[in-house]
Amino acid sequence: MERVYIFIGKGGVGKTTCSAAVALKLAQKGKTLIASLDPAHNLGDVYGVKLSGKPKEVSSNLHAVEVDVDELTKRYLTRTVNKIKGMYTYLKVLNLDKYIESLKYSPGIEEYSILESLIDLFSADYDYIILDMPPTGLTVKVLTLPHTTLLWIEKLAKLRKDILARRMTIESISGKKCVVIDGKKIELPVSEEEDPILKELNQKEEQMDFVKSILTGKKCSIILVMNPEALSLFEGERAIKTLRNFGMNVSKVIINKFVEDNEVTKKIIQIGPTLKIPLLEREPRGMDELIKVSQMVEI
Amino acid sequence: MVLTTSVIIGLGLVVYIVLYLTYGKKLEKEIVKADSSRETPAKRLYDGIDFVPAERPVLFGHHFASIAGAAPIVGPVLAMAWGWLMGLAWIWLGNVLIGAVHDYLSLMASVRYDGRSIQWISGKVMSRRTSLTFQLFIYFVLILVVAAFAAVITSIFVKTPEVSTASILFIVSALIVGYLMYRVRIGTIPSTAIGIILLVISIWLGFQYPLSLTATQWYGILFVYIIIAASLPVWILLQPRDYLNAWLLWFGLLAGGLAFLLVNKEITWPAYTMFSATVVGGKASPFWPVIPLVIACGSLSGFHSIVASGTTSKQLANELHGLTIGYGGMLTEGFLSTLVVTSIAAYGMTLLSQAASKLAAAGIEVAKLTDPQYMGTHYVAAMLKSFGKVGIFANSYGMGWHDAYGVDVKIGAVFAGLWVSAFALTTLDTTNRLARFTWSEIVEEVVSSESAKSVLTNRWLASVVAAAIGIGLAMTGNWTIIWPAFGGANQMLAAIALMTAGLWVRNVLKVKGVMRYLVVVPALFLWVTVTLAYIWFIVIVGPSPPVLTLVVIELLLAILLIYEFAAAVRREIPEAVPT
Amino acid sequence: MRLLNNILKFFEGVQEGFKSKSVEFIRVEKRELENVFSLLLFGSYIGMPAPPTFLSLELLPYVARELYVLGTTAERSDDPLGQIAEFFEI
Repeated sequence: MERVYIFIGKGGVGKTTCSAAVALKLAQKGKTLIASLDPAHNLGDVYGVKLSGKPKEVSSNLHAVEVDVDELTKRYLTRTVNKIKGMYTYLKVLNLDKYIESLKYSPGIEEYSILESLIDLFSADYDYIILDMPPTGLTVKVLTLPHTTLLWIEKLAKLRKDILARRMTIESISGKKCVVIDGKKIELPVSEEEDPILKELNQKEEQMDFVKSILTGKKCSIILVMNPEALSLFEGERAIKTLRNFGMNVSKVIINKFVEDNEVTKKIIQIGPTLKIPLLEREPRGMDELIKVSQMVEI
Repeated sequence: MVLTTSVIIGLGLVVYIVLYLTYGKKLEKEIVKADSSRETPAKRLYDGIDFVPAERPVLFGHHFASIAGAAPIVGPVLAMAWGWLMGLAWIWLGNVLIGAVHDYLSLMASVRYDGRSIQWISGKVMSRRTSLTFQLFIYFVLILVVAAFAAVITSIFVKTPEVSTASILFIVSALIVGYLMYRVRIGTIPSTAIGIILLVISIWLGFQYPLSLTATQWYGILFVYIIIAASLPVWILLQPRDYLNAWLLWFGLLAGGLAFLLVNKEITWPAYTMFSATVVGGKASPFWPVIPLVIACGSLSGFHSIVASGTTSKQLANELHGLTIGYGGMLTEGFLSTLVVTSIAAYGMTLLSQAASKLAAAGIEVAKLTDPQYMGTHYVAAMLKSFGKVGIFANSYGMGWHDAYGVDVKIGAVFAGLWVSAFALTTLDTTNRLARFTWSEIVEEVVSSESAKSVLTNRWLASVVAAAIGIGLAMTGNWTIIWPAFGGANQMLAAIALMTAGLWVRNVLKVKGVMRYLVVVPALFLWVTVTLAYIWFIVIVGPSPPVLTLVVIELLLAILLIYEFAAAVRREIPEAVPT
Repeated sequence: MRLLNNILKFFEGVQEGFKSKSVEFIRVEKRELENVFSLLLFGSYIGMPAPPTFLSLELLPYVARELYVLGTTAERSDDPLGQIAEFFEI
C-alpha cells in the first residue's frame, strides 16, 4: 500500500461524493480500492453501481466495496461467544442469539468492528486505499480506539506479568497447586508462554500497534470534508483537535458545495491546505458526472 | 532442694503438658465439642486459594511462627520487678486459664463460622458497633506497637553495637535470600542454607565492626526504614525476613530451652518483691490489674485471635487439630516467656552487679538489690540504666549459653539481641502496611467529604503519618508508659474476642452448667482488669496528652463494650452461616 | 521403627511449615493483584472505568477462575480482616 486516504466529516457534507471523485483520480496513478465504512452506504448510489461486501471493479484500476459492518459485528460476536460457551460449560447461558443481539449495542463493539475492517483493508493488495468513513463522532472514536486500547493493554499486561511472576515463585517453592471451582479441577497458568490471557493481550497489542503506526504515519492522509457553514466548521475544528491529541493530523480540508468566500471559508482556509469544490447544479450521480468532478480535484 | 533453672523449665513443661491434657481436652470435649467427622471449612469450601487444609505440624509451625514475636520477650523482662514468681504465675495460670483458651476458642468459633474473622463474628454476636470498636482498637495497637518496638530496637542498638551491624547485615542477607529464592528460584533448601550461613556471617561481622550511633540517629534511620520497607513488594525484603525469622525463633527457643534445662543454675532473684512495684511511669504499680498490660504475648494477647480466626481457621484440616494448634500454640509461646523469666531469675543478679559502677552513678546501690523491697522499687530504673529494655535478657541468655555450651557470653547475647530486633523490625514493616489499610478503612467510614477522602487515603500519607506518630511517641514518650498502653489496647482486643467466644459458647453452642463459665468468667475478669487498669492509668500514672487521649477513648469504648455484651446475653444469635 | 517414622514425619511437617511460611506474604500480595486485575476487567458492572468492551469480551473465555474468585471475594468483603490477617506479626 502506498497511501491511504481517510475521508472524515459531518453527515451530509458530501464525503462519499468527494472520496469517490478522488478515487477516480487516483485510479489513473495506480491500483485503487475505495471502501465505504459508513453504515448508511451511499457509495453504490454515487457510482451508479450496485455494490456489496466484496470488492467490485467499477472503473479501470478502481475497485469499490461497501463493508457490511453489521454482518461483520454479528460474525465477530458469534465467534467470541462460542469461545466463551466452550469454556463456561457449567455456566448456563440460555438463548445465545438474544445475548449476541444485545451485545451488538454494547459500547465500543461497533467501533471495534469498523476498526477490524480497517486492519483488513490496510493489508489489502492495492496501491491506494480510500476510506469513506461514518460521520465524525463515530469515526473519531474508531480512529482513537487503538490508542486507548494500547493504554489499557499496557496496564493489564503489566499486572498479569506481576501475577504470573508471583505464581511462579510460589510454585517453585510449594509445588504445583490445582484450584478447584465447583468441583472442577483447574490448573492455573504460571509462565508467560502458557498464559492465554497474556497471549491474547500481546496479539491485540500487535494489531493495535499496526493500525496506530499507519494512522500516525506518513502513508496516511486524513481528509476533512466540510461545507461553508458555521456548524460544519465547529465540528471540524473539534475533530482536528481531538485527532491531533492522538498524533493524527488532518492533511487537507475540502470545502464542498463552495459558493463564494465568506467568514466561514476564510476561517477554514486558516486551518490548512484547502481544496474547493463548487456547488453543482445537482448532486453528481453516476460514473460520467463523477468523472467531471474528479477533474476538479487536485490530489 | 535448691531452686534452679532446670527445675523451673521442667516444671513449666509439666504444667503446660498436664493442663493441656486435662483442661484443654475438657474444653475440647465439653465446650467446643470438637468432632472429627464434622468437615472443616478448609475441606468443605476447598478452593485451593484460601481454604486449603494443612497438616497438623505444618499448621502448628505456621501459626506459632505468626503469633511469636518480640513481645513475649519484652514483657516478662519488665515484669521481673514484681519478682520472678509473680510474672511466672501470670505466664502459667493466665495463659492456661485465659490466654490459651482465648486463642483456642477464637480459632474454633471461626472454624464454625466458615473461616470468618473474630471481628466479623463479634459484629454478628454482639453488634456492629462492637465490630467498629474492634477496628479502632486495632489501629491504636498498630500505632502504639511501633512506638514500643522502635524504642526497644533503638535501645538494643545503642547498648549492644554489635547487634546494630548484625541487624543491618541481616537486612542485606534477607535481600540476597529473597532474590535467590523468589526471583532466581534456586530452591528452598539451597536458599535456606545460604541464608543461615549469611546470618552466621552477619553475627560474626557484627563482632568485628560494631556500629555505635545515638538514639536519635537510630530513630531517624528507623523512620526511613519503615517507609521504604513497607512500600516494597513483599518478596524483596519482608517475605525473606519473615522466613529467616522463623529459623531464628526455633533455634533460639530450642537452644535456649535446652541450655537452661541442662545448666541447672541456681535462682538468685527474689520470687516476690512487693505487690506494687515501681513499673509503669515510675509509679507504684499494683500487680493486679496491671500485669496483663505488661505481659501480653506470652500469656494473653488479643492479636492472636486475629491470626487464629483470619488464616489458621481456613486451613484447619480436622476439628481435633484445633487444640494442638490454638491451645498448644499459645502454650508454646508461654514456654518462650518462661525461658525469659528463668534466664533473668538465674543470671539477673550477676549481671546487675557487673554494672555496679554505672548504677551507682545513677544512685542505685547494687548491694541493696538483694532486699526485695529495694528491688521492687528500683529494678526498672536499674534495668534501663544498665542493659536497656532487652539487654538484661539478652545477656542472661548469653550466660546460659556460656554455662551450657561453653561459648563466650557475648555470642549468646548478640544472638538474642539480633533475635529480638529482627522480629521487632519485621513487625514495624507489617504494622505500617496494616496501618495504611486500617487508616483508609476508618477514613471511609468516618469522613464524608470526597475531596478530603482522596487526600487522606493517599498511601504515602497514610504510611508517613503512621510511622511519624509511632516514632514520635517513641522519642518523646516514656517507654514504661507506652509499653503498658500498647498492652492495654491489645488486651481489650482479647476481651472483645473472649466475650464474643463466651457469647458463642453460651447462646449458640448452648453449653449448660458450670462449663460455660469457663469462658464467660475469664472474659468478664479480663474486662474488669483492663478497665480498672485504664482508670488507674489515667488517674495515677498521668501519661502525656497523646497517650492520655488514646487511653480515655479506650476507656469509653470499654464501657460501651460491656453494655453491648449485657445486651447480647439475652439475644438470639445466628448459627454458622449456611453455605 | 514407628517412632522413627513419626519423627521423620514431624520433620517433614516442620519443613512444610517453613515452606509455607516462606510464601505467605507473596500469596496475599498475589491475591490482591488478581483482585485488581479482575476489577479492571469487570469494573464496568460496578460503574468503574473499563477497558474497551471488545478487550474484556475476548479475554472472557480465559477468566473463568478470575470471575469465580471475584465472586467469593465480594461475598467476603464484609470481613476485610479475614483477608489480611496474615500480616499481623506482633
